[in-house]
Amino acid sequence: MMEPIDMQDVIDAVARGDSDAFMGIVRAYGLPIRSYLASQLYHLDDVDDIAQEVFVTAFRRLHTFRRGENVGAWLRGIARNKLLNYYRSNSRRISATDRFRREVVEIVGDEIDDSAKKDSAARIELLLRCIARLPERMRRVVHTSLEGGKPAVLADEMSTSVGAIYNLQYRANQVLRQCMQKELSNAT
Amino acid sequence: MQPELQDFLAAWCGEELPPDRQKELLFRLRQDPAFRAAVVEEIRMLGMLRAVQSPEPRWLSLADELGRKAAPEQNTFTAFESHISQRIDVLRPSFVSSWWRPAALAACAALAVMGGIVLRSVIQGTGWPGISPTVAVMVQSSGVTWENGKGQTPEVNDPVTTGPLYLRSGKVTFAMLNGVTVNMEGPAEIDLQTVSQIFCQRGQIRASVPHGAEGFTVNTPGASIVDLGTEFVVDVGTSGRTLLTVVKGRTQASVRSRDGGSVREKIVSANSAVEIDPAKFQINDVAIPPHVLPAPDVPIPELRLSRQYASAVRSCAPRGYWRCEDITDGLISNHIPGEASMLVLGGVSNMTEDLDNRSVSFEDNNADTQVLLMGGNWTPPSTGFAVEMWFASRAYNVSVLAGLHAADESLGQLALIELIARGNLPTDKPGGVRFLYRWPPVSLEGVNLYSQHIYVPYRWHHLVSQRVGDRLELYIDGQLAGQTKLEGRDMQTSCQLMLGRLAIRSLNEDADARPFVGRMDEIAIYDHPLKVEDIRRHAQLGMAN
Repeated sequence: MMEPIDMQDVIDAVARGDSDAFMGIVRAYGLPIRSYLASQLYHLDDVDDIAQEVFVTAFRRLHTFRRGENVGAWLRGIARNKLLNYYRSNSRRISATDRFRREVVEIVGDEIDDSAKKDSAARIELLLRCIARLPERMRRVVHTSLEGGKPAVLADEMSTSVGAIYNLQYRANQVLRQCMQKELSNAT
Repeated sequence: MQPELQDFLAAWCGEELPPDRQKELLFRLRQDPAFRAAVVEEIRMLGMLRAVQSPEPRWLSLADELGRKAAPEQNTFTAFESHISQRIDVLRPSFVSSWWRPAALAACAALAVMGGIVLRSVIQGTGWPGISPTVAVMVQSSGVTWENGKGQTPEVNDPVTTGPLYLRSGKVTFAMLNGVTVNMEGPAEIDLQTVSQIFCQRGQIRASVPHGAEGFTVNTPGASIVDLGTEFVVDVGTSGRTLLTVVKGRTQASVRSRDGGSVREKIVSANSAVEIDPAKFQINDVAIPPHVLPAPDVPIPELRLSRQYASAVRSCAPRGYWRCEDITDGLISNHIPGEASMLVLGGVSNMTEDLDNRSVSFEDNNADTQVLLMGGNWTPPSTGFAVEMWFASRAYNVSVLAGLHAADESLGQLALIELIARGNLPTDKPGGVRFLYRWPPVSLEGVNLYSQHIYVPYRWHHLVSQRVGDRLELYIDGQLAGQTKLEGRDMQTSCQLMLGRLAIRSLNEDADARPFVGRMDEIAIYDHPLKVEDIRRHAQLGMAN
């Protein structure tokens, strides 16, 4: 488990020539930033590409970080700009579905930012434990969404309807949120 | 789920919706705050799920960036002197005399060197390993030769930090702080990147990932293997291809492009093998290889105690003392006359093969609810009490050693003593011991005391958790491992002492039972705190272990 990151220590270390110290930031915030991006981008390759751009930019702008500023909020600010640039530069090439997603993100972007404030790598990793506890059918739906599988194909394999698959995903999300909350409260 | 939300999720996940329906959903999203909140909840969860289940990127462009921006070489002492000078300036801005600085620099440098020597001796000597930045402990080795002058060269019971390991020959087993067991056979070269991620440059490693540690990742040149709840073997040969054999459960195998992106993925199930070829971006089914690194068998040795141990405990006037020598009619007798026996539930067994000193064993067995329950109740005095035992755990796992549960069923736990593994909140100390004290027992609040050092699995440790007036104390192997202040908690209540899990429920019903897996012995409770000298004496009488 990562110790809390002291940004000033990282800045000092990088200033002394220890660039690798920046990887501590990546380890602590890589998962929350990828999670934040994956809430607004569907394709994982795009998520990872932009996440990498976020950290490259953060490294280049390390000198602009103000002591006392929230590191997560700072990184999310960079991520937000990267997302805007991504959608702008791809506006002619994206599909109708991606255009839909872009409009959704424009409408709910502030709420997503607000909700992402409490994210940390450890908190998000609780999900893995919770996923393992899901009933088999829900777990299968959750894994399939990661693999980019089509709901129609899964519905066929599970001898059910596409609507039932979306319902299973919805219920799985509810169970996972409750599980995460329970894990958090059990820790005190 | 309302139809609009279902249609929204379908569109978000890639289903083509008629343009009119899309417009309706977007209109509702703008106008209806409750619908907006529900949508945010769902897409946030979907985003977290995709991020947490997918392999971490290799950050190759970032690595290039960090390399390009590396500062030019400078004299090491000059850089060190400059750093110390800056720190002195920060701490003492008003000091201007010029002669003081060289002396201060020399003193700081000397202290830094001495500090390094002391720290190393504490870690490798009789002292306990500190928690950070340890990610694992080496628990077994056979015929080990490490490469000279490269990477870490741990010995059994040594903590292992992030960084490379170059094994020339032999086999080693690491207990990772998240509960994963990693077995490695030389020649092999790995990099422990984090507690849940390893890079294997070459050689064969086997990972056994328990429930709760899913997501453990092994990266190799051009490939990633993410555990989905399993046991698997990775073999990286000189060909550059990675051979993955899944023994139990499932993994996700990915082949990566040069910039670190995932090009192809495949779920690999138990009793199957694949070869990942980064050059051709292929993942091919292959036969299970004839030589697969076997699972390690790390034994817990017998607890060896001096003949004076029992009399030393009795001289401290325990309320209860269970030596765990025999289980007769489902009971462990109390060596304090007239006091309650310990009830044995489930498959807790006696280690009858031990020659001189038997202990009780809690096995990794999903079918049984294994627990020890003190017959009758105990009211730990608010002025002070102590719980003492010897324990040896298997692997790192979040597991309960002992709990004091209020006898009144409407209340909850008064106190909990548990082992911590990585996976809990950032406030926890993975690999340490936690002593939780609640008042009132029904509340969700509590005072947490964490040990400052990690325990070593497969090895016996002496543990005392006690309240001393307005203080909680933890002693491990005779050393004070942590203490904290209690405020306003002077009440007391009748409790039941339970050892081995959080609650008496079947593992199948509630995975929060936190079952302990390992051995326990010489359990004692006191209606008063123990003196430091008695704690140290008890620990020393078993320190032959």
